[in-house]
Amino acid sequence: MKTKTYSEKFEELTKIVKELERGDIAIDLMTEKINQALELLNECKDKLKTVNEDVQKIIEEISSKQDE
Amino acid sequence: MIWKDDFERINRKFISITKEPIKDGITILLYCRINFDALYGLSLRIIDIDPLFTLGELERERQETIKKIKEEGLWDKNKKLKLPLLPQRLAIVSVQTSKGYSDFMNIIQQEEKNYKIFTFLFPSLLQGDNAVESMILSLDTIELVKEHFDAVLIMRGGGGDIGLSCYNNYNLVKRIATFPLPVLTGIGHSTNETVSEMVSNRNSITPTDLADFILSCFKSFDDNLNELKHKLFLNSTKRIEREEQILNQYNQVLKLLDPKNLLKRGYSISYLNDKIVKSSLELKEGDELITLFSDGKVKSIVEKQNK
Repeated sequence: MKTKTYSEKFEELTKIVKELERGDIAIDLMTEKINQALELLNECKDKLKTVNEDVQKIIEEISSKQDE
Repeated sequence: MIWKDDFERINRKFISITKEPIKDGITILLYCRINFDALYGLSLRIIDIDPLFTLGELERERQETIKKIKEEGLWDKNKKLKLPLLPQRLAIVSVQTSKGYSDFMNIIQQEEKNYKIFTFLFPSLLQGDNAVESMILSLDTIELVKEHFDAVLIMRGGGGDIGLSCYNNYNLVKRIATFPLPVLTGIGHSTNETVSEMVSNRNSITPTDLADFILSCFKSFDDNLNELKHKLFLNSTKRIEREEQILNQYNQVLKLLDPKNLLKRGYSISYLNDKIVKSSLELKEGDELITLFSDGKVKSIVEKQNK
């Protein structure tokens, strides 16, 4: 299975949150949906953290090269 | 013939007006006395030369060069060449001992640590009779090795304003206009702009200005890079922060809506036959309810229905 991109996960997450906020989801399904949403949320956060670290690394690299 | 004293007087006046010494190849208007001596024959003694006539002639030559170059469609030719973003390899037409050249090199060398600029001097006469030929020869040499250079710099300075009419010479101007590399000029003087300067890719008033211009190319490139780096950093950080904010908001919403948290706050959920009871009207006496609390569930039986 192809891993979902950040955008895809984020979109899915947003959709669930909006549904929950509107009260569109049956109570019976709520726990399941919330767990699904939390999982997506954590995956998104992890991805964001990696991206952030990468960006910092790249910028540090550029700076150190420029100072040479 | 001309007497030495006369010549010195005439030449001084001539230079002060035309900015050129009396030399070969210029047209002059003479005032002279004709003598006839039985022994020495006929002689002309030059008493005065009208510098204004020659000045007019020099200006006429200048205008003629402009006209010819324009007619041949060469006026913009060198200007249209694109100077590289970082003109790093410079062929210099100048003289080692020229003050302009040393001014230029001083400024470039001050920034040596930051910007590596390669210069190579093609020595040449820069004023007077033989300057045209000499500069054209230097340009010919540079053309042979043009792949190694980004631009040609003709610079001179500190030599006063005498003998600059060579820069209006048609052959030199044409060579500059049609040169395959951008030609930058920095011919320090206070007279009218020469045609060579007009057709050059870029003219700076003095070699010092020329050096400043070259360095400004590097500095502005540097500034641009720094700005881009800053933007890159700022924008990516901002973007990440924004995403983080949204994710945190979602997290809050999810927590708020999670039934588990509702149960913790004292709410409970009751099931009748595995279905959530949403209304008391769904129930009747004797129904068996399963009620879910945060820490477990209980079974109970409806005793009375208060309708």
